[in-house]
Amino acid sequence: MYRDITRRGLLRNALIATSGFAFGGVAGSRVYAAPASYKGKLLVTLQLNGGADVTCFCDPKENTPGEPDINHWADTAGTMTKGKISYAPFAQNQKFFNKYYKQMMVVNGVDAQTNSHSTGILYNWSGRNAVGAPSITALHAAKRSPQHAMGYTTFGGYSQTGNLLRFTRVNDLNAIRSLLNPTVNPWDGGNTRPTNETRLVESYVDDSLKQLKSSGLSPRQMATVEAYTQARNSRQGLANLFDIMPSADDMVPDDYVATPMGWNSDLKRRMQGALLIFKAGLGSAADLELGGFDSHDANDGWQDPLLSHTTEAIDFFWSYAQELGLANRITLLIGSDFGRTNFYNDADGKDHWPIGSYIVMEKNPVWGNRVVGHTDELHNALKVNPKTLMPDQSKGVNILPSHVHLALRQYLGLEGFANEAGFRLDVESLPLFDRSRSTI
Amino acid sequence: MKTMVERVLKSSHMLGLARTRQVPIMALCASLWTMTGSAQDGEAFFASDVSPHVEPCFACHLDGGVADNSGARLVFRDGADSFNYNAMADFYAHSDVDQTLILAKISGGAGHGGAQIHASGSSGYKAIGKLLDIISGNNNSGGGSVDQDFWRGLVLESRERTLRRAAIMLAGKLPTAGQLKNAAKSELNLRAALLRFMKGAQFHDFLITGANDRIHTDGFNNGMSFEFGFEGVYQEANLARNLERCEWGPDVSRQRQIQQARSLSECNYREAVYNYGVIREPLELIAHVVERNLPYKQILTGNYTMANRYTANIYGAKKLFSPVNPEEEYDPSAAVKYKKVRDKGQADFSGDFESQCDESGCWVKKVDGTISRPHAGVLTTHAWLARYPTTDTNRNRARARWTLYHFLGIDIERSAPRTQDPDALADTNNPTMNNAACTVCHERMDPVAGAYQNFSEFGKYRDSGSDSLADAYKFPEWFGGDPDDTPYQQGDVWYRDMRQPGINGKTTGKKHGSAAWLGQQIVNDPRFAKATVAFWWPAIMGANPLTAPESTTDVDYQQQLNAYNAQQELMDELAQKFRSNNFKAKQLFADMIMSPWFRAEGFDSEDLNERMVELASVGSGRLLSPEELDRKAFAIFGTRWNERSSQMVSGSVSGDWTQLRYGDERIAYGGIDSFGVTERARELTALMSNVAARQAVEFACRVAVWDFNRNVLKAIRNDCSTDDWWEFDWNRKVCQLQPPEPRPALFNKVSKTTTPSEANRAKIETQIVLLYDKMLGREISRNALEVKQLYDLLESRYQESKDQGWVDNPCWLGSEKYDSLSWEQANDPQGMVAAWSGVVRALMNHYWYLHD
Repeated sequence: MYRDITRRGLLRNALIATSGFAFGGVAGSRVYAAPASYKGKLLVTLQLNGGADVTCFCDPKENTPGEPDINHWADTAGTMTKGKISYAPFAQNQKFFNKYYKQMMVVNGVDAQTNSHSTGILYNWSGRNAVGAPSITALHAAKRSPQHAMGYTTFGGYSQTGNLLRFTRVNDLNAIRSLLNPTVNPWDGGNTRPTNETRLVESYVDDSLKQLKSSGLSPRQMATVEAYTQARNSRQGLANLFDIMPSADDMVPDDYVATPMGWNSDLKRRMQGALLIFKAGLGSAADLELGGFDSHDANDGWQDPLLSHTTEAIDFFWSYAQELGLANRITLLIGSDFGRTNFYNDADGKDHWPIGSYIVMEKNPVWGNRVVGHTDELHNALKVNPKTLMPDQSKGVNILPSHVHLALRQYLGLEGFANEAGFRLDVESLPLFDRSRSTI
Repeated sequence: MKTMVERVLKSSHMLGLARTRQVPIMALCASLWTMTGSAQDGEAFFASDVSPHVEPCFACHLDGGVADNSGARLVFRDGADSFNYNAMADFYAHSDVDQTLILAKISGGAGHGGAQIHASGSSGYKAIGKLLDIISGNNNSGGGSVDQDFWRGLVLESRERTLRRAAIMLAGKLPTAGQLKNAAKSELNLRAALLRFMKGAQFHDFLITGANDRIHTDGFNNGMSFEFGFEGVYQEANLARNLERCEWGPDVSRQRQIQQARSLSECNYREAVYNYGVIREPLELIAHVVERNLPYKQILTGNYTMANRYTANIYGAKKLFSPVNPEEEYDPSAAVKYKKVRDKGQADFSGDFESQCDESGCWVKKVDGTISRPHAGVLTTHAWLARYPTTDTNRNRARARWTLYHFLGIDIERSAPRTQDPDALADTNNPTMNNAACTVCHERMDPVAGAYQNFSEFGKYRDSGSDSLADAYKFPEWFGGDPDDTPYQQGDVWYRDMRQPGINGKTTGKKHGSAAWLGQQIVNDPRFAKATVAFWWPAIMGANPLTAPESTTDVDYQQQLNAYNAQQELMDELAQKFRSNNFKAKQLFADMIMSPWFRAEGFDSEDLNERMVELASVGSGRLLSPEELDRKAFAIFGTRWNERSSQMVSGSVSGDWTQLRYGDERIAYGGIDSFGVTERARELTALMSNVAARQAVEFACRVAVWDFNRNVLKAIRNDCSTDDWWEFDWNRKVCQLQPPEPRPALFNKVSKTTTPSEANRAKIETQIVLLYDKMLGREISRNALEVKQLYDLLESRYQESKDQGWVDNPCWLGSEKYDSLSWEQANDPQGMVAAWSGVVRALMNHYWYLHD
């Protein structure tokens, strides 16, 4: 009865059928099974929301005579370097870069082409400045772990999925302990209801969903029936997480972050949650977020404690990943909406500036200890040759978030998948992960 | 000509259809106008019909404008019709440009940097569509209407089902048989029935939740930093918390000591209650306007705010409430009862006053006078202003951004050009005034920011006494600058280096009342009505309003555009009716519920597989939010999962606590805290399905136990206290869980001793059918497969209990879970309460219990 669907529609349906977002007509014949524990590549984003000042971090800028001060720290100190990576003598940078310079690639001079937070976030985490595209983590999860119970988990930040899969929102893993196995008392491990009743109820609900699927549903109903079906089929894995969860006392406590409006950050506990989810084999991608970087007032008063907290948390992240035996599988992408102006405003703050940076980290990558992309002394983005990545003002290109995302997609093996899903990035390919190429 | 809604609904019911029917929409969607032919002179048509509609494009699409600088290929000249016609024709001549692209861009799609200029179906959209027909010699614009086949194959749900869904959503009630029968007779009856459900505590909750979903002021109740500092501004706030009155002393009576020991402390309690009152002000104001059936415009123009007992005191209106009886000091309702009030309590800092400060802050000791805060409905409430605070450099722009977004439907951030020249951002010559890359947004945003000129960072009125300007602006010498390096002049209340307070090109000279002026301007703007439709769309439709798709290369671009256009047209119609109904929100809600977007139950369409995206948010099948699921439980069972009364729900404010509202399950089930999480999940995930399962495990048994003991429930309710420790009373029975409010019995065909047997089969099956209908809103027959499955489940559980001889503890949850019933009352001699709780548990996991 259905008309032939177009080639594009066919592709889309085939794609979504394998990624867990299929609708009734397509999905009706599918047989679900709880997926095996995920053991593959893991991707995490750390989104520094508000606009981190990268001139105080990984793209250090000293003051230029005749120009307004770009950084107060430059009044008393100069840029520092470890390996091939330069950094600002600010916050806890020295400790961080000294320890991790071999595990990172810094991409400087990334032009987000906007001073709008929402557009900056959109562009930096999806690689596209038009709405509708999935985050890089969503793409990764849609390809690697679409059927898993927590295939894509967000602890905050940009997490649009482009309808490729659903994400699970978690704030505090510890708080949902009792939900990981709903028929078991978390305090004594006993069953809350007779096992026979549970079996009969589960069987009834599964059957009712099958009956619903064959009953002429609307597209909205099909989508939510499908979501429920998949959720039920993948939830068995949550018990694995229940089994490996540390006691409440062993979950990481909050950190006080001494910004002008100091607050307690649970970033490390969120990192711990993401890593435990990976350890349980429940998914392949997670987003983490730290806000507060929008320092229109007292720029250094905000950026210093926040960057200190950021680097300290990243250190925790890698240590805990190592402890769980996950470090070799993780790619960590750190970025922000955009940068901050190359001068202080009247309130000693800095306003929005489209040029920012990314840091990509792995454990001992062959492409580590490198900087690609560059900016001038006033933090204007400079062009790089698309083949050599060397500075090239005449034939070069400005590095855009889309370039970085395309390189990441290629590196992570997502490009073809993304293109088939209709999320192609129409920019030239830059060899960011080629260890023989660097800008500096 | 009928509206789209009328076309759809009239066709559905003109044949007296009472239940689900297929509606042939295609025939009703006749072309709105007929092409006049390509012979028409394009230039003349442009001059006569199109020219005014391209004027908004001049903001960017002029030579040297933002669009031009960003590489746009369409560049106009102001006032040059002939040139502009040719510019349009030249643009159209590009091989990659067609009518679809141009119409998509002007309606905000296809990555249009200037966002929406003309909504689909609007006169501007139609005029440009017709121009393109003339240029192309085709008739492709479809008359400027939405995809005429969007509603093809629509199957509307029955009126009874619409009433049931709406009654649960709006009022936490199930319609009676009589109400259903009456509503089924006609559309008018249905509409009238809908309006009758718009009242009561649950409707109030619907309004509070729905409004907060947009403005997120409840973030302050969920951990967002609370920075009002009332004691430093309102003398009464200081007096209310006066520590001396709360300290122990020889003159404090024993009774008083006991009372203090039972609370956190009097001062903290009062602070919590007035903080809560302040936080809820904007939401309560919106609810007040809707519930009283006042013109909705008052949410922005009301010369009043809402206050509970303690905020009324602070605002200088303590007479509104009766004096506090010490015995009622901790009355939980003190926080949640609101009255209309004018705020006249803030200290007048332009006169003499005495204050005291320590490391914890400052408080007002004595003032010579107070001032009357200018009110503009929500806009001047402390919580709204504090939720979007201003800073020395932001200068109210966040307030302006969200004002334009929520109340005029203008998304400044999305209307910003996609690409920006870094040079523009490095421009230090006041770029927001002078640089085209910046003025494109700031021209619209900054005057609105100016209208908030009197309100400081967290919403105090003129916190310096004469203004709320930044010290860095007024006194640059305090910050190491040159004292002459400021345009500030004594008496100013707004920045001279910004645009003057105003909106839409109008400015206001009002100083004290500029926010009120702004509110008036907004409600008189034709966009206010449609923005209101969009504001309430998620609460009623269970999905965010669609945004225009931006990338024509997206696989589903056309479907997304179809849906967006159809939704825009429906919103336009709803807005028009809203205006016609004198901005009565209840009428709007009824119209929204009556629309096919709410009532679509299916689509009998051969190409449904190709329409999955465009119909993805249409009709029933939404996942219920935690609050909606609570409301549904309340409607059916009279209680909610782990409901407890008089529990801490915010600080030391008491209220009805439920697991889905205040437990960790709220976020885990896709809810929001209005702070860290502001977007609801709309589909179930594995974790969320576990929340549903956990609810069923715990809640189903309780429901069954209570329902089979209905005869003693009333007495229990009268004899039941709560477990709040300050309420503790040995002479009363403590109910850790709140017994349900009376509802028609769930189990009215069987008793505890009706066991499965051939003799009882008919009775039990009938009970299953009734239970199924009540919990899921779906009718099934006794011989349906699901009835057999549920019967088997019941029988199996019964047999298991019988075999084990273990029947007196149906819930396995420990006695505290139903200790409002005595052990004897909760007894289950035949194991049938436990067996039925299994059936209820199964139905609580059913798709149609969790979705609607």
